[in-house]
Amino acid sequence: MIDLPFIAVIVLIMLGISAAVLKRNMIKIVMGVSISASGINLLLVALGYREGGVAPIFTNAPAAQMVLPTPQALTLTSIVIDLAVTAMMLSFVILMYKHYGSTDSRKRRLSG
Amino acid sequence: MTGVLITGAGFWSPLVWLAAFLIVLAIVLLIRSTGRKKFRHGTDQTAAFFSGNEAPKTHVKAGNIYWGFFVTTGRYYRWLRRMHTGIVNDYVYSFVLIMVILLAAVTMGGLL
Amino acid sequence: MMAFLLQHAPALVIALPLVAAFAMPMLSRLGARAVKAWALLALLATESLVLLLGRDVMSGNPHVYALGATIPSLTTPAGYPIRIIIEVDAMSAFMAMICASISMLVCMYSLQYVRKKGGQDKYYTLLLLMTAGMMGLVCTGDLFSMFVFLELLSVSSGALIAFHARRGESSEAAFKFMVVSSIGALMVLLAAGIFYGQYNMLNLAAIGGMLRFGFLDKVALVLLVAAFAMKCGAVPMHMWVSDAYGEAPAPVSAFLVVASQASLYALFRVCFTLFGVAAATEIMGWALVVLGMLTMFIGVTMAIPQKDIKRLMSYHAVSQTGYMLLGVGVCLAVLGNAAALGSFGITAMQGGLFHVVNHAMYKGLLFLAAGAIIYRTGTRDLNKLGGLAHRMPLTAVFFLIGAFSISGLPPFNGFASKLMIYESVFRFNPLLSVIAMLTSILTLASFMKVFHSAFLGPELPEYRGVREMPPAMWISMGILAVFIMLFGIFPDLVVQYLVGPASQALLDRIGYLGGVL
Repeated sequence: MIDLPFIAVIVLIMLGISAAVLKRNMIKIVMGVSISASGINLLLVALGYREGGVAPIFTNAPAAQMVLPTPQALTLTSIVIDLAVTAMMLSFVILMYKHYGSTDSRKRRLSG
Repeated sequence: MTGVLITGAGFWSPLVWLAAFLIVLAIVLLIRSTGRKKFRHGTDQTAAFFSGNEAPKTHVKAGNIYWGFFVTTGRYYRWLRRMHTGIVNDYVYSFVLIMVILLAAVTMGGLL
Repeated sequence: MMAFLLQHAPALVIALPLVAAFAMPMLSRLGARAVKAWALLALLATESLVLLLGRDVMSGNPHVYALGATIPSLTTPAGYPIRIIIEVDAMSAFMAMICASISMLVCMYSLQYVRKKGGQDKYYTLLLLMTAGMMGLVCTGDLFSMFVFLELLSVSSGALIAFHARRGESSEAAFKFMVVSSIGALMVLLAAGIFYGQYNMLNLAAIGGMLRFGFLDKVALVLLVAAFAMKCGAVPMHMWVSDAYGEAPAPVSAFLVVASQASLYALFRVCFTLFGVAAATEIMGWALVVLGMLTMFIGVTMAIPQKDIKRLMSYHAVSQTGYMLLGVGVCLAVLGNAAALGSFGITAMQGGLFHVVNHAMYKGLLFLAAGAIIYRTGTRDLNKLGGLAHRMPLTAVFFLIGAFSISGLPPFNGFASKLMIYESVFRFNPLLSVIAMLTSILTLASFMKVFHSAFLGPELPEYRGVREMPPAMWISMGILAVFIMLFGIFPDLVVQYLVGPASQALLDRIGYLGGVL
């Protein structure tokens, strides 16, 4: 089915955001953001796909239609950004665990 | 003419305001200069008048300022403080809520 | 030389802080003084480039720059735009000037505020990265690079918020900031993906030219508006603002205000230039107006009971963002109605944009003054402070200038922009103007509370040894105070030379599209 990647994208994004809304453990919140980002990366790669296409490399290319290369560049950038963001959020969770003693998002001290 | 800001419904000229302020300041200083010049500092002649009572020497702390305002608007502030939980899940939840409300407004707003 | 700089300035203003940030770890070997000198030099160079570019752009045409082309203005070699295109029109130049100036003043202030021994090079690297991210966000003409620079800005801001890692609360604030920012940025990327799937283009001008306002475009509009509104702190998505601005070091708080306004710029760019008048702007305009009203009122009422000085000021930052949303939302709502637009719409937008530059200045001054108090007394709790005006009179004067300016008292600049907003919004709907004025009164009440608690009263014994601020701090605050007073005494010059071209460029969609295509 041609729509399966896009349905998977919607499911992944919704799963990720619902993890960020519903889960109490901060590491699971970080995982939720990462799953959302993977869903959007899947969307970008799936948008560039052409049926029966080959990889967009000019050297020794077979004579067929190529898939679009731009979304692959966008996805690479997005993967790198997501890596940096996840690493940062996890380091903040480590610092919070050191000071607060728990990874529960309800044990916050800044409110009101 | 410089110094005149034309808003749609009128104009605002800060230079004229400053000139008026300086004129009023000059009049105030003029009136002040016609007062008594010989008085002793630090005695009852320069103390504030509290109907014969002792002048209070305390400094009202920040938590006690505007207590009447907070008593009157107590119900509103209880609701407001309850809304600001400080839990990160609620932050993401309010974002999703606004997105859903805006989507409903934009897609169905044309039907109104 | 000047012509070469002017031709390549759009790319240089983004590249210069970025290259300086990457060169910083090498310079940290030479000691803290080399690090500070390098950061200040890089930001001075960026500021002069931005002023050079801004003076040329404000008087005439937008500057277009295609990265990687044989000549920079070759944007459409095959009939459609390719490559990353940087388009600097008057609105971008306006925001870039604000960002560069405040970053330079924040760097000057940090020279003597940040005393942490081992973290100096990291602090200045992150500051330069924040500047580069902000410059990229306001200058770019491309939806995907908006995402990239938005994430760059968010990541470096998040790291700076957690700078005082000895307190657990800083990491908590930074974690909340990062979660919220990354989800917002992911929504921007999703919208970019939706546009790419429909039109096979990522360039703002190209998409704007080809836009058909179908269902998917409406979804993309909602995603972009919600994400950028969250990044600038519109209620009810504003709660991260008080945590983040309250826990960051004081100069970083002043700079984060400008970062939120860069997101506000992105919101306006999307609403006015990408979508424009064909996209049923009345609904989105009213949505921005309602968000602005809520933001103003809830921001200021939440600020009054606070006992932490930085948290109180961050709620005021939220509240003043509501004024900008109100002014520009009114213009967006009447965009289709030419008579109303000419009569009060343009004045509302000019009031909103004038408020952007005023807010950056007086909020910066207020945060820097709070930083001075924290630097000398070591405490942030308003319940413990008192009688500081005896020992820190200069700080008290600067704080008073900022407080009068934010409350909209004449003759300061806050009054001029608020007057424009009140008078134009009144003709749109009188109730909005009344609530805006009520917010102003509550702002004054709240700042009188802070001034009384911190500065007035008898001198407390624990603050007997407090001295005045070091020179780097009062010089930067003095420059801001001087500009506040100048903008207040000559508001018509500001509106004529800075805000007017910016608002005209924002409304001139055809000019923006024509710059690239």
